[in-house]
Amino acid sequence: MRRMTLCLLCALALLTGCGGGETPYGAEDAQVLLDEGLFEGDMAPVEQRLVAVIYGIDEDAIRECACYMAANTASSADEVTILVLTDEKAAQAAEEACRKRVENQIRDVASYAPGAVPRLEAAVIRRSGSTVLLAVGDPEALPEAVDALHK
Amino acid sequence: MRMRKLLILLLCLLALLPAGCGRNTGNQDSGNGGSANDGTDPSGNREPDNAGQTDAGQTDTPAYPLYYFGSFVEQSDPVGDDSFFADALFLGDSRTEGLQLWGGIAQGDYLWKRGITVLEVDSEKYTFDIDGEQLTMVEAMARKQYAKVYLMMGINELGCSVEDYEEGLSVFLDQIIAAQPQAVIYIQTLPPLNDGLAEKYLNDYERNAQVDAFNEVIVRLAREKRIALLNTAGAYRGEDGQLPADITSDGCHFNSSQYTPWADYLRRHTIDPARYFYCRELGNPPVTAGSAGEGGGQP
Repeated sequence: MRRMTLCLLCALALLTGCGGGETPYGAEDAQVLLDEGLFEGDMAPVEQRLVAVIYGIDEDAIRECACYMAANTASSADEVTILVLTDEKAAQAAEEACRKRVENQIRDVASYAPGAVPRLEAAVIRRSGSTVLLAVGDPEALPEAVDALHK
Repeated sequence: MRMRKLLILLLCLLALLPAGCGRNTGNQDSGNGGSANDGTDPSGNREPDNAGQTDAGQTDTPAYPLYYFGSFVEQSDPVGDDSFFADALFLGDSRTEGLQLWGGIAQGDYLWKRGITVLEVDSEKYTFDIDGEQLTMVEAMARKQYAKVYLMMGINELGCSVEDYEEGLSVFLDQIIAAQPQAVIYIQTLPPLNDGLAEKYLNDYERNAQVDAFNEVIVRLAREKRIALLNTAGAYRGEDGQLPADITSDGCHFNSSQYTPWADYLRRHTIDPARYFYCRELGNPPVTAGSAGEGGGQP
C-alpha cells in the first residue's frame, strides 16, 4: 500500500513537473520577459487587431493579446507575443501561424538584417491549453526564461 | 380675289419666318435657366450653360481649382475619421511597417517588406502570402481596387545611382497607375536621415545628400506621371534639415512613438478625387511663380 502510494505520488509529481505546458500563458507574461532584458532596443506594443493581420489569425478567435515588437526593424526582429485564444483548436491554428511567422521573418530579414537570423532560428514557441507564446530574443537565455514563467 | 389670296399668303410667310430662324428667348425670360431637363429649348437650341460647365476649352473658369502636379498637396481639413483610409493601400518598406504598427491609422491595407526596393517590386525575393499564394508586390497590389494608394520607397535604394532609382520608380509608378486606374496616387518625399547617427549605424551611402537627390526624383516623377505629391519629409525635417536625433535610434527609423506625425500629415493632406482626375485630364499647365501649391514642390 505504501509503495503504491509512493508510486502514485511520484507519478503525480512527474505529471505536474512536465505540465508547465498545462498552465496557460497570460498577457502579463510578456512584461515579465521584457523586464528580464531579453530583447534588443525599443520594444513597442502592437495592437491586437494588427497582430491578427500580421500573423494571419482570425481576430475573433483572440480573447486577449500582448505583443511587443522591436521598433528598429532595420536591425532587429525581436518580438514577444502572448495570445489567449477562444479554444484549443484556435490555439493550434495560432501556434501554426506563429511558426509560419518566424519562417517568413527568417526569409525576409536574411539579406536585410542577417544578424537577426540566429535569434529567429532560436525562437521559442509554446502552446499551453488555449494560449500561445512566441518569443524572439536572446537565444541563450530565452528558453529558460520562458520555462521559468510557470514554475 | 387672286391678289387677296396672294397677300394673305405673303402675310403668313412673313409671320412664319422669325419663329423658324431666330433664337427663342422665351424660356430664358421665364427665369428657369433651362426648361427642358436636357438643357435644350423646345426648338432644340442649347440653353446657355453656367460658367465652368461648358465643354472643355469653352470656359475661362476651370471646374476645380487647378492642382499643379509636382507641387505639394495643400493642407486641408483633417479627415473626419480613419474610415477615410478604409479604401487605401499603403506601399513601402520598413518605415511603412512602422506606420502600420505604430502610426495609429486603423484602416487600410498595407504591403511592405523590410529591405525592398523599387527595383525588386516584382521580384520573388519579396513575396506576400495572400490566400496561400506567394505574390510579388506588383501582383499583390493589383488584386484589389483602391481609392487611394500611398507610396514611400527609396531608403533602401540609397546605395543605387539616382538614375537607377528614377528608372525603377518610374516603372513602378506606371504599374501602379495601370493597376489602380480609379485611385488617387500619392507619392511621398523621403523623410531625412540624421547624418550623425547614420555615420555610426548606417552604410556610408546612407546620407541626406542622397536622400535629397532622390526627393528631387520624386518631385520630377510626380509631375511627369501627374500624381499627387506629399511632403512627408517636411513632417520630420528639423530646423537643421536633419531627422532629429531624439526620435530615432539609428538615424533612419523612427522610434515607435514617432510615427504619429506621419499619420497626422496624411490625415491633413488629401486631394478631392474629382479635382485630381480633372487636373490629370488637363495635363500640366505651365508652373508660374505663385501658381504652385504648398512649398512649390521643392523638397
